Amino acid sequence: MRWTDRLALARRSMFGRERVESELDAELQFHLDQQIEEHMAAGMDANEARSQARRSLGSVIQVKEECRDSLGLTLVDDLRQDVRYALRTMTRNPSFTAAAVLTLAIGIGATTTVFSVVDAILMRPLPYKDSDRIVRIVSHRMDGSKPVRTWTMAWPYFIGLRERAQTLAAIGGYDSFSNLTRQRLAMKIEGEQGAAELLGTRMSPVLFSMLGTQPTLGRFFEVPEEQPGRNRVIILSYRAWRAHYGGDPSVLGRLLTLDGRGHSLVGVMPAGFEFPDRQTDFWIPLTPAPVPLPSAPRPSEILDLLEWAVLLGVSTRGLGVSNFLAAITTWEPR
Amino acid sequence: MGKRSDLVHGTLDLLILKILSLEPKHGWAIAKRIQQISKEDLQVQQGSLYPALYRLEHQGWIKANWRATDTGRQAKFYALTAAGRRQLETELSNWNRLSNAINLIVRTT
Repeated sequence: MRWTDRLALARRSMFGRERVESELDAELQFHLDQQIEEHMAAGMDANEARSQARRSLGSVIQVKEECRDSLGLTLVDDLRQDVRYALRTMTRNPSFTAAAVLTLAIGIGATTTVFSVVDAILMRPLPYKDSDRIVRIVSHRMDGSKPVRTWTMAWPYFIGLRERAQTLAAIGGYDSFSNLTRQRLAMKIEGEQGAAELLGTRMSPVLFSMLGTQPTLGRFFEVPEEQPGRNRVIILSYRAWRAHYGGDPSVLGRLLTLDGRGHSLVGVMPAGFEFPDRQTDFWIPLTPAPVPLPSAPRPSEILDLLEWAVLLGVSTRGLGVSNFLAAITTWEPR
Repeated sequence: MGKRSDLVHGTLDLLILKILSLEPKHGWAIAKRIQQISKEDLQVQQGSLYPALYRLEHQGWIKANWRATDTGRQAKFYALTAAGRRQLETELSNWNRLSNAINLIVRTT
């Protein structure tokens, strides 16, 4: 059978229900009539011929059922009946239906939400190279006699730790607050869309290579660029580059003003690089040096000013993360 | 199937295809033809015949259309398609193999 014929037959099975039925009726009726005629020709009277013929035709309904089976009609039929029955029951009892639908909706919604969160947080590895070798260092400082856990570490500890680790691990810090204002690091720009404010993060140059990403444009910070005097460089997020500079590669080298000082744009990170948070649209080098104190800091600010960096350490080949941590946790700065 | 002789399972399709290979026929004529040629030994019940016809049509081996009979009544005539002709060849050779094999066993043992 050509596929067009097949299609026509399938369409007839699905939609031409009445025609199929009446054809089937007519065909079986024709057969019955022929049988009756034959019986009458053999000498039976009309009534007897009819009842004899009916008997030999068997149950007409059953024959029709089997014919429909041959066409694959019953499946469609049964399904149609079931759906119709379900709809009838639902309309008869709307409040029950609403409750059932609501229950299902909430159930499915909640499950989906929980799964998405669990998948993002627990199942998927961090989107960084060797993410099992990246750790965040938590320190404890003594507050009176109790140790208080803190995610940050004062700069002398950071410097000392880095000296001690030498080549065993790359240690870098980051901080999302301005060195000067202690507010969230932010920069006003004049982009294509007019004035805008971008949020940023200070980050040790070594962290970029530790996280294993490649810049889309330009370069990362180089290690010497964390030194005062060389640290006037800036990297933009892909999102900010597209939104405010139209994705123009010639923006490299442009001076962007941050905290009153010009910073030279050296690179653009790839789309999806979100470190340490989604809001960060630019990065400048983190300079491990004492923070210049504002003229009259409040006492509570002093500690904050000195503890700027959350640290990440990556142990290198040959030394497990736990061994490395054991080696450094007993250390105290001079 | 009749009291006379049950058709060997699966042979009804072969008989229908064979009979339709000569000329298009309606269901009643097919049943009569099977009965006549077999000298009344085989009788096909409508309960088997019509489902078989629908199945064969569904497979694309036969095609149906309504036409007037000699007596002027409208009846559904079935005709063999090209695919049906090929199917007939296949079924015929299958049947020959089967009946030869059975004959051999029946005669030699």
